[in-house]
Amino acid sequence: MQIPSAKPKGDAVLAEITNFEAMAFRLKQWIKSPRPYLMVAGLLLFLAVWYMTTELFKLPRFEKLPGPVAVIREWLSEDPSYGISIYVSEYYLHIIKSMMRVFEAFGLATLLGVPLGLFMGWKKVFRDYTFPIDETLRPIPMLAWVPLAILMWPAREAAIVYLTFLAAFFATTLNTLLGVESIDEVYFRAARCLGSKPRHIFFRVVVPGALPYIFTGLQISMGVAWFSLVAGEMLAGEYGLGYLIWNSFVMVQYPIIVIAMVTLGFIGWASSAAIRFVGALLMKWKVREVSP
Amino acid sequence: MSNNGSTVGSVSIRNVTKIFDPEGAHVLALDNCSLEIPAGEFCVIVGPSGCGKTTLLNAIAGFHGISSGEISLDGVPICTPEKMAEPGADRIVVFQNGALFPWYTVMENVIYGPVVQGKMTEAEARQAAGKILGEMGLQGIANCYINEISSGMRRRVEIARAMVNDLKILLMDEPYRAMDALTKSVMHKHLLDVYDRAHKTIFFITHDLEEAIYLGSRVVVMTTRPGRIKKVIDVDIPRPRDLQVLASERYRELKMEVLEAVQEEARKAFEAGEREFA
Repeated sequence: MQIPSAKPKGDAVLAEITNFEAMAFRLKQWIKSPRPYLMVAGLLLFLAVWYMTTELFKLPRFEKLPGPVAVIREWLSEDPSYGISIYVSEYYLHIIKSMMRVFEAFGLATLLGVPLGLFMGWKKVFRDYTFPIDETLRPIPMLAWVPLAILMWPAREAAIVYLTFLAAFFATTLNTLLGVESIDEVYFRAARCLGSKPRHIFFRVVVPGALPYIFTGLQISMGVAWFSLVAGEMLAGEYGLGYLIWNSFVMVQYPIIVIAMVTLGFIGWASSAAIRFVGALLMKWKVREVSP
Repeated sequence: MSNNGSTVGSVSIRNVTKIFDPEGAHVLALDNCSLEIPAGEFCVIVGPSGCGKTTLLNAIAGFHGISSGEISLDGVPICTPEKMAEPGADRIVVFQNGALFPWYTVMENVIYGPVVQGKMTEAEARQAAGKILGEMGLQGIANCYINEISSGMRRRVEIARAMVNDLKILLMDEPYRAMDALTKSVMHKHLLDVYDRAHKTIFFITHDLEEAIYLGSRVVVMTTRPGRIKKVIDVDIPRPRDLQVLASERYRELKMEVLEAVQEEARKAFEAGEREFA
């Protein structure tokens, strides 16, 4: 693990100023570049096409879909016609329920998947035991697990979390294993030369060396966790954004479908950003490597 | 016999043979190599690619075993066909492409050895590392990560990381191979300073004959595969050495001598390579 560095205070302050200045400089460069304007233009273009196809010209196949005006009006309405908007507590209940499930499943997948992947990569014997099972179970699509999940966990809640966990777990384990395998043999040799015992090699070479891949794995794991969660909630939910989408379809409350979809998009993006943020904190050496 | 007033770090390589894949391809990498390296000597090994230089270094370091013969350190056998050497902090390797841990800062890299061996507390190790980094003119980069410093600095940090330990022999595997001539000459001066100060045995592998003579107390020329010791040349140029050495008559004579020995082997290696491809 990281040896805490005893940086003199003056240096730390200097580093912070430099980092802040560097950030301000990059932001300025970004504003000067065409990128932000292209991004806004792309978004506006998408909204315009959506509006024209669904609400303005009502093209065939698009006529039944909710348009942006209907969706935004419903979303921001204090008295929504279908009962879901930013002013309604039920909306947040669905969000919180889904987030809690993902949090539980993702947390458990990380707690079990990372150590398992590390051991599989580090000790060949351990890998030989587990790899064939892992490789056989991993490609099975999550939906195929639904019947067994319901048999194992008759309570709906546990079944949904279990499905979400499974998807996240395989992604985390495999990427962690790849992370350990990606570590150059020369670091193991150097560590042994310097008098490391196996535990030092594990904590000071295997863990930090695999971190970049582990965090890639966690990002993928978060993505597949949301994917499985929505599938699970559609099948067996009572609350949650997946349930909201399916229920709104059945109840012919089409704007809510889009509201829930966009909400999923935002939360998914935010959870990936949170993982990247934690990764950047733990891998300062990588952050500094890519900065100019 | 000892160089530099050193009493530890003598290596004795006796009739060492190494066969890779004895059951299958049966590649004879080292053939009956014998070499005595006195304590504190700067011993340079030269020879064509694939002649077994690194194989010999790896056997001393404990990265692989030998098929026959024996390697001893200060009279104690450390590597025999039955038991390969255990890597340890008395024989530290400076690797060809560098092996500083990129996830640690310079300081964290240098204190790694003493801390994991339990020989110093982290505070003591920081003090010792600070002293060594200071001597090497590296105190300003102690808190930098490895990817933030130049390749020349990385090599010096790697030497500092080795020197902070209680080592007997420093094993260097073509450490300056990929460097430009200017950086190389700075590195040479630095290594000579370290050698003159630390009195440690150095086992140095290189392809660069000028480097070999400029740095070494003895230059050992190996034959093309299977690797044997072809010639051992004493470099009787006094220390401390500086760039003036490169202009001296004795340096030119020695260079000629090494060049003749190596060229013959290089030609054989080249022809063998041609045959392999034909």
